[in-house]
Amino acid sequence: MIVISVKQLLGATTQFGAGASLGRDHFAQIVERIRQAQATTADDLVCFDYTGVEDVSASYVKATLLAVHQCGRLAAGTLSAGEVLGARASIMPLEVVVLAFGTNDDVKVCLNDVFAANGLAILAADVDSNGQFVGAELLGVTEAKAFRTLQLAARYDEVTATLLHSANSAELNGVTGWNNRLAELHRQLLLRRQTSGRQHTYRPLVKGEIRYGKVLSRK
Amino acid sequence: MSAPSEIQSITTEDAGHIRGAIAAGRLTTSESNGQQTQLTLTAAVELAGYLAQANGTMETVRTALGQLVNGCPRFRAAAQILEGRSTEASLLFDGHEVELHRIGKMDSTDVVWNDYLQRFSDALIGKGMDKKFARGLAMSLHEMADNVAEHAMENGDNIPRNVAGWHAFQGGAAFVVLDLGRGIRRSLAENPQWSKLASDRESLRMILRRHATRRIGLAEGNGFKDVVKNFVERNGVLRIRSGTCEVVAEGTLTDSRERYIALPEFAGTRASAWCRPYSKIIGEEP
Repeated sequence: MIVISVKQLLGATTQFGAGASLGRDHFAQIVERIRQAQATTADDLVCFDYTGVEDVSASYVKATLLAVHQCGRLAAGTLSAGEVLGARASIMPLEVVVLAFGTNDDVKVCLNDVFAANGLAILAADVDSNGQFVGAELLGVTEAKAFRTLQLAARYDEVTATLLHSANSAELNGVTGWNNRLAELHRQLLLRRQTSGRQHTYRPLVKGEIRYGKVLSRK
Repeated sequence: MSAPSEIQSITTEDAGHIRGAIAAGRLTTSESNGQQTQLTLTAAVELAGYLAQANGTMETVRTALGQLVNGCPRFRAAAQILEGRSTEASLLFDGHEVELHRIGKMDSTDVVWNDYLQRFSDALIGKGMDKKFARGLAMSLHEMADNVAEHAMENGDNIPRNVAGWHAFQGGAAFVVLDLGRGIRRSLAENPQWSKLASDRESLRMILRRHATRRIGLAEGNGFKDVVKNFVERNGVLRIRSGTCEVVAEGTLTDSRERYIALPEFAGTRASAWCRPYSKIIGEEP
């Protein structure tokens, strides 16, 4: 996993994670870091660590976390031309999936606002005392069926449509249906996918309990 | 002929009205009565904007404003920044802190800006605000100023013709951001969704109501939304002036009360806000 410490990015100059200008500057550093990491490993999980960050602005999030997310979606072929034009940074294809952790309530509210406004979702992972991801909140928006599928997938280290069908056929009868749901979650960068022949295997970004993010207010 | 009372009356008027007063010849003397003229931060910066726009060709403006230039430190400091003669000014006026700053790159190399923002936050905490609130206000100022920096960059304008100012007072805060750029309506016209707005008034209304943005493909802009959340919803007022209109907004994002005022053309944009979060009365801008 490739960890991006937002506090470290901000640390030298400012405590304010605000503004598209600063965000674009940090985005360039983040992309460089991802490329360096991917030159030596095949890791595609980029984790934005917000530990120690008190608050962030929507513009900053759009130019950093959302921009990297858009890079991942561009690589996955799910980013529209309009989204590329509207991006706050220079989007390029990157083979990544993205999550956040170490987020306080204020940061979560901002991530939720940004991703919801763009019809997207992202996981804010829970970290235990050993630094392991043990669950996550889903911020932003996704359909109820997709969310349920994500919850089920997060029970396993890896999962296939066949496995979900055999364990949950009462919910949805048909391997194709489960396959469609898993594929959709992959398109949303909420699951990783490996393909072997005609078989797709999916891996959750976080194993454990996945729940909807609480509706929070900045006030 | 310029009685102190006339000078005093200017201080409560909008800068556009002041220009009208200048044009009407009501401000042609610069007699000093030895007192400092106090303009609101908004008026001081906007007047300085007029001066900078005049670009030395409207000597009558400078002459007419001589009294204000000499008498109002806020105005003098803003004018010096907009004319490129200084980059930062720190004032103490009636015991309240005011700082003005020329907006630069605002990226991670802009240490001076980050220090400036930090001082705003620290000043607010020093005036009794809680840390979280102070941080929110500072971030709002940053967002507004960042918009200006972005416009300047995309216009290929290497000469910063803009200024930000903050003012911390007991129980409240104010800020202003002014740029001498193309204005909101022309900026929004970059986005086909907003390219056919009929007037400056409509442009301002779409910014506030629909969070209109010039960025094609972006769902909505956030700069003004943040300001409304952090200032207006905390017993405050937001004023945005661009082109021939000014909007004065109070209330909340979902229930805003807006007044639109027709003003003389101003080739640029000025956004200012103030709030008194611990008071029940919004009151006049300090």
